[in-house]
Amino acid sequence: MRSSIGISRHVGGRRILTRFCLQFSIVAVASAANAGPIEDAQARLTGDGEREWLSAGITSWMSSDPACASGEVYAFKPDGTVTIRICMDSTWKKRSEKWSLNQDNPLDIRVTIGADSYLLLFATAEQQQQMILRTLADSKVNPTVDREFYLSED
Amino acid sequence: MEDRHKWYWDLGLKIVGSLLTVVAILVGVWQFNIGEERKAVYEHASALWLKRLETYSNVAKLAGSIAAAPGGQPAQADIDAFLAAYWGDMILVEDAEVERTMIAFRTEIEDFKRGRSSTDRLKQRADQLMKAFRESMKAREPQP
Repeated sequence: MRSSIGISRHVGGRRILTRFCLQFSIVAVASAANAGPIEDAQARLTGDGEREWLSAGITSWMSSDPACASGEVYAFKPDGTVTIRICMDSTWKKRSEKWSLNQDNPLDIRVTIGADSYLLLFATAEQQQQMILRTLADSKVNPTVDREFYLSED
Repeated sequence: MEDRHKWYWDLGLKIVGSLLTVVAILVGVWQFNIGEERKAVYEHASALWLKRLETYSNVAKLAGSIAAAPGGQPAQADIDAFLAAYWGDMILVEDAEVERTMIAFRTEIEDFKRGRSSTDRLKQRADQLMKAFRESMKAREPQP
């Protein structure tokens, strides 16, 4: 008798656990589906933890680590800081800035890095994830400037 | 003595009457000129408004054709016509907000050509452009 009660309790517990897992999955899927463009952009920018984005024209010398020829690396962290390494005078100059995302309109997400502000775009080029920091022209005669970066993991 | 007094009054009234007549004529001329000036300004604003309406309508049709192209592939002829208007007629009539949305739509076309955009985004940009046109027309409607 005792053992049959134990079995029914065990089966009941499993049912509750299964139901809980099912409900949790549904909530997780629903919340993922409801993730807004800002959350989506943030997830793409930082990944699970920190993501490094390398400028398209980056070249680094094979010798000592701090030596470089040209390029720029942005490492975005979820805590709202970005470490920027810029190749100047053959060495990497490092600085840290704060970053944040804002939505200008349903199509445009703006990333502010320190005092600078860009439209943020993501694309895929030759199976590599691309981040584009765009300065949209404020008049027809001025150029729109795209700064293209590739994900270092790719 | 009384006749002399009467003569003075008569003379005074004649002078004042003449002055009033001159002033009334001057006011009339001034009012006429103001009216003509306002009419000219209104006619000019109306002509510009109609030109703006015509240009916006043409560009709106092109933007619609590009955004809702059959098979999701905009015709190069439509893109070329849009660019011709972008660097041509539109400069004559657009305001700052319309210019900004024109730049955004053109950039979206370039992104689409490079595989960075979609027909859905093109449609949303076209929608933004139409709304900017509508606001521009409303804000610059000539007042009689």
